[in-house]
Amino acid sequence: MVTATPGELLTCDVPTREFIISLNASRSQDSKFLLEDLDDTHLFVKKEKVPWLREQMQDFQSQITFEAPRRT
Amino acid sequence: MDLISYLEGLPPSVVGALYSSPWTCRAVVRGIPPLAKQYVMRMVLLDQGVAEGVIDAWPKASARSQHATAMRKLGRLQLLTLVPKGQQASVLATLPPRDNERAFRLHPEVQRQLRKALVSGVAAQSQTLSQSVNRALPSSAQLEDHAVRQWEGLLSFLHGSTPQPPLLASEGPKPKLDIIKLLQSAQLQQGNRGKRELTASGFRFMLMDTYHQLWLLLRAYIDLAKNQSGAELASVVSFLLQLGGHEAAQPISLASMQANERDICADLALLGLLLPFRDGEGGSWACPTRLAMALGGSGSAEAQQEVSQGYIIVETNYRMYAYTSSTLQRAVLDLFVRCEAVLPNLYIGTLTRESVIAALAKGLDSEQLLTFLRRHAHPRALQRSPVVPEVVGDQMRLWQAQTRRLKSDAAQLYQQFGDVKVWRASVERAKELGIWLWDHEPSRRLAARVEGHPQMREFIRSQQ
Amino acid sequence: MAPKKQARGGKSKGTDAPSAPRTSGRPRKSKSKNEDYVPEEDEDVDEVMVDGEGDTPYVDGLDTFADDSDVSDADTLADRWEGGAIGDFTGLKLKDDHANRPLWVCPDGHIYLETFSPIYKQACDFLIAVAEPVCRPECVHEYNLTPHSLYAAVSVGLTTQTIINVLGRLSKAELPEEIRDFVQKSTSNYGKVKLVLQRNKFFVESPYPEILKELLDDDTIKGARVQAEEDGNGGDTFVVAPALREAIAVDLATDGDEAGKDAMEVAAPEKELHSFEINPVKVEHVKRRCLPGALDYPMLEEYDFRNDSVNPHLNIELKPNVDLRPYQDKSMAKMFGNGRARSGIIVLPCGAGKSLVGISAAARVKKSVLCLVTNNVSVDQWRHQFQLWTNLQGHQIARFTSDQNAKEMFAGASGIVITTYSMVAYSGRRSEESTKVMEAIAGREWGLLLLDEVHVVPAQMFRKVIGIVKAHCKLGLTATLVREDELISDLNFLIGPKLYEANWLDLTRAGHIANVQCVEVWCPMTKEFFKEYLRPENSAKKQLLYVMNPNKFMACEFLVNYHERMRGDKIIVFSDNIFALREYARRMHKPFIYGATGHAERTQVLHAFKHKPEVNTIFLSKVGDNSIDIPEANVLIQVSSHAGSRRQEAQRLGRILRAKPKPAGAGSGEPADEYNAFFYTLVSQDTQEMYFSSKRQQFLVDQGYAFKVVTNLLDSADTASLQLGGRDAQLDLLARVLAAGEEDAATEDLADADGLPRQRVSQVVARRTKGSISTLTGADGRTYMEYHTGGQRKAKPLKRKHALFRQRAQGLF
Repeated sequence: MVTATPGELLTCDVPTREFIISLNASRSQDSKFLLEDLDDTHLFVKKEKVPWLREQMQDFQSQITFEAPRRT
Repeated sequence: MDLISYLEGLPPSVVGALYSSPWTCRAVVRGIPPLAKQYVMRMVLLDQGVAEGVIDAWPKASARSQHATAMRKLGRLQLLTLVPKGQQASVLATLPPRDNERAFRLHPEVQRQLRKALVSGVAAQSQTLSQSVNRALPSSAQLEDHAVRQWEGLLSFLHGSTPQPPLLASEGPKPKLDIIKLLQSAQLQQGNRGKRELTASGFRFMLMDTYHQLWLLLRAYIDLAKNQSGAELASVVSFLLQLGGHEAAQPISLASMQANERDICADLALLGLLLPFRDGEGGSWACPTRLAMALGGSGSAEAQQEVSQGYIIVETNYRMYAYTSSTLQRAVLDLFVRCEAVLPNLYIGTLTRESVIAALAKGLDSEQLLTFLRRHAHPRALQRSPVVPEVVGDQMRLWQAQTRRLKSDAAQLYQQFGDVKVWRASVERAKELGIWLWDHEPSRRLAARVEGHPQMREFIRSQQ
Repeated sequence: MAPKKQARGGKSKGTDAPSAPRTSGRPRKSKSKNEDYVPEEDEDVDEVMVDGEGDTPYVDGLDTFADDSDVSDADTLADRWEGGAIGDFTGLKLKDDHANRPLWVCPDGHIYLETFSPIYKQACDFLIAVAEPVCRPECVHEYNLTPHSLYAAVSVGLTTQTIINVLGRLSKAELPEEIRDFVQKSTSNYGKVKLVLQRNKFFVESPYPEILKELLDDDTIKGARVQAEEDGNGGDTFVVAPALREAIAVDLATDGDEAGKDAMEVAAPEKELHSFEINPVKVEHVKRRCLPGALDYPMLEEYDFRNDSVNPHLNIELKPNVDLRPYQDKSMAKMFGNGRARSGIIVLPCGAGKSLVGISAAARVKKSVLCLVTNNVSVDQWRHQFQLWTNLQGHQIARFTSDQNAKEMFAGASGIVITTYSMVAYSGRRSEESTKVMEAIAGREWGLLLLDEVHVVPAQMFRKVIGIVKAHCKLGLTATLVREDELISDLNFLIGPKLYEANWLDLTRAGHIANVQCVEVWCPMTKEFFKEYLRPENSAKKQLLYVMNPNKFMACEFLVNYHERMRGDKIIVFSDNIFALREYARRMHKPFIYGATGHAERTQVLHAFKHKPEVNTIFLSKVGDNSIDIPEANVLIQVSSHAGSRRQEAQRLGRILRAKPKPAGAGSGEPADEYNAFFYTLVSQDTQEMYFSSKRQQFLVDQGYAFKVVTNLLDSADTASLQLGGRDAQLDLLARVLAAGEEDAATEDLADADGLPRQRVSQVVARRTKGSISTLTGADGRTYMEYHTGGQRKAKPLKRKHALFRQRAQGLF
């Protein structure tokens, strides 16, 4: 019996995928968002979590970006 | 947006009507690519049509792509028209003649206007001005001042740094133009009193050069004029181009104009394209500013160059120094630069990931930002190559690439196909429907756009 | 203006809040006392310091010179300025002819200089004397006026009025009142009190007896005073002597330019000098007490060496063929501007010939010189330099190191002694010969104390050394005074003000230092390594995971192969992480040196690298950061480095800065303006390393260096030909990384496999001095040298040129 699941298909590079998986792993059982792990560059997730995910990615990048300090 | 692309977007019948104005003809010919100009000039004195094969033989083999572009432009602008079948006799034919070959000739109206211009010149009707007009003529500083005040006032209002649209301080007829309406119909600003904000295209608009800004606004203006007063499009366009065709500081007498033209003049004065004044005897006149000249200058390289001098220096340490005392220019820079300090004639800022990503989120693009920085480069920065240091350009592109690392599509995931044939057929079906996103044979899974789900459900049921 | 102000005032923008690593990278700290000072994670007591007596590493508390702190001087104008984050100085009044003037002077002390102004050179010479350079890229330079920079200005002979007049003249706008006041206030007391060493006694000297009285009201100073014996009654009288006629020549004026004219008008009054003696052990306290922020009479130290008839003359001359470069001349002029020798610091990029500046100073003073350097290799190099540039004979140049054969003292009445900081500061038991030499060093008066690499020396050790050695004049040399930190103020009273700082970009353009292409290579993490990196339980192994990222290793191998075979370059690969150092070097069959490698082996490896055509690449831990002079190298690859240390980055770049006439070997015929040296930093993408890497680059970026980011280095490379290209090999490596002990994986602040102590980021003094016997003796520092594998390969050109280099060859790079 073929099943159809609605959600959001994510296409990304390998490290981004790993990041998303680790994010999912860090969440409690009832707030996990990863529906299916498809392959190295594709994931299937709950639709409503996508904007939050993007935010998390931005935060992650911000944390590893050095901004030149303001003129003191 | 510029004149040429505006005209290309108009229906053919409308464009044809525009060519009755010598100003329009001249501006159009100026605006087309150089090779297309060549073809026009070759044909301007020919009474016959020219077979396609003959035209195709004109360019060098290495210029094939320019040739194709030129022909496409000439066709779309209807500068070249097809010679009807019956008149093939008068065609300059390819040797040996080919069957059913198409032939072109210059648009008759354009040809007539150009010949006239060749013989007598366009600006021939230069007027002798009376003493009293000459004495009242605004100085070039006054003209510049007016242009800057009105135009920057408009941009500041659009940007939100001034609460009111600019008013017209000088004399002359009162403008009817509603600037708020104009900006909204150009889709640059949205919202209403109390909370107006820039749209994404408004942000892009802020970074455009003046020529393209002008045309984008005037296009909206022409549409507004048509809807409100049913003004003839052709006459509005040709009037605009006529203004732009004038030499600097050559005044136009409002007395000799029709009522609708006078209205346009008042509106354009509000936008800073014209400066109205009165002569000693109380006659109404208007003088075109550099903004109006930019209009007629068409999209050619020299005309696109900003009249104002470049002022921006970007350093390898992401510092930006902008020689400006204009609040508007500072406000534009604030869109994507972290400001560090402002001096009377200098803005000091830094391009940071945060400031650039914020601009990208508003709908700007790293290339647009770089184009802006290059276009306004200070003469000192122009001496080096590249004008914007390579590291800065690279970094801005990398920041943008980072924001695009994740692509997401609303989808349905189909799995647990019992039969690999059904899986295969479903993949094919999804591709046919143009909704296919991803598949994986070993696990027999398929992801497709959510919009196509009803059809897919139907299809899979039918297969089982 | 109203709405804009609102937008600019926004100090409290939510976006300004730094995220986690940022705060940890730059802690704000108290500006007051050294005691409160906690070193941040990316600062280190340089391991080269333990070289000295070998078995007693320096572990003396936390009191080190900060490297990267962003603490500003207590009194900078900027701190007082209350304009918020964005300076709104639109109220300044522009002069009509502002276009012809080169500067903007902001009320908060920041100064901007147009480099394309016709009088840029003069303005630049002036600014470098009165202000701290903040950043100096191509078109517009930024400087900052600070109390210390003004102190330095006064000490080279500029008067308050001159500073104000010249600033005002160069400024596009009317000089802000704040600046006038600030300069006045900061400098009015400067230059009025001097510290003089005469016949082995220290005197505080001034033409103004009332100032001396004022000073003596202070308890510290009073306590330090040595009462003259005949004067038992309270000590209100001073020794009075006629002042020497001073002809203060300010080199600024030598060009006769606009900017300099005011500087000529320096008064040279003839006055009586009053003085009192102070206790030598309290000299440092007295000097500190007199600094801005305390009594505010910073003392100048000058040495009237020509009139010193007490200390024996040293017959030292530069060889006739020695020709100083313009910036070396300028350094000398600043130091000897008024015919005396000023104590202070000269800042020149690595490779720009700092030692020649020191040696020239020695040749001017012509008295005995004590030269303090950071390690034994450096001692030998300095000795060699003295012989190379001067007429001195070997017996006049003594070496004093931990080496049994180097406990020398020069034979005659005067000469040179070269030693390490730790040799002098060492407080444990010394051998008999050692004791003898130390007594000789401590017992005499030195004409000149040369202090090499002053930025790496722990403050405590520095104090000790300066307390032991009595010198008339102290000259500190360094490449990187990372500014506005404790270092500046400490060095200000320990040595003296900064006398001169060269501009890296100018030196590069003039061909004095190599034109370096700086590249940051982004190496994506492999799937498996990144997965482990992200696991919370691996937080202690993060560093090892990103350093050992197989894509990084392949990038390194690719670059080494390319530069060895295509260009015939000499390559240094740096890795602070010792696990990685060993792993990389062994896999590529290259020799490596780290902290535990013995002196003999180091010398042997370096010799092979310099002279053997088959040894073209060496791997160095951070022992190679300073002082090891390897002029042959022209390619540098950083595999791992010390967190966000801007100073380390600059030091490392310095390893390849020595100007190279043309690339060694293959690259002949290249135009002169092409890059002739390469500095690669390999960074694992999406890891903390990205943050550290950009932070490290800040200093160099401010000097005008551009770091090109390359994201696709391996795209066109044949990865199958590189090691670790296969997944199995990668997984195998991952297993080894995960199994590696804490010591290998931990951040390098811990005592690591180097066998060298480090300081932890915490207020607790965490140190590890224990270790295996072999570590302490250096016996486990076996060096890997497999010449046979590396040999014969040379000069076999690769067919394809990588896109990176093709581009460069076309001049686009």
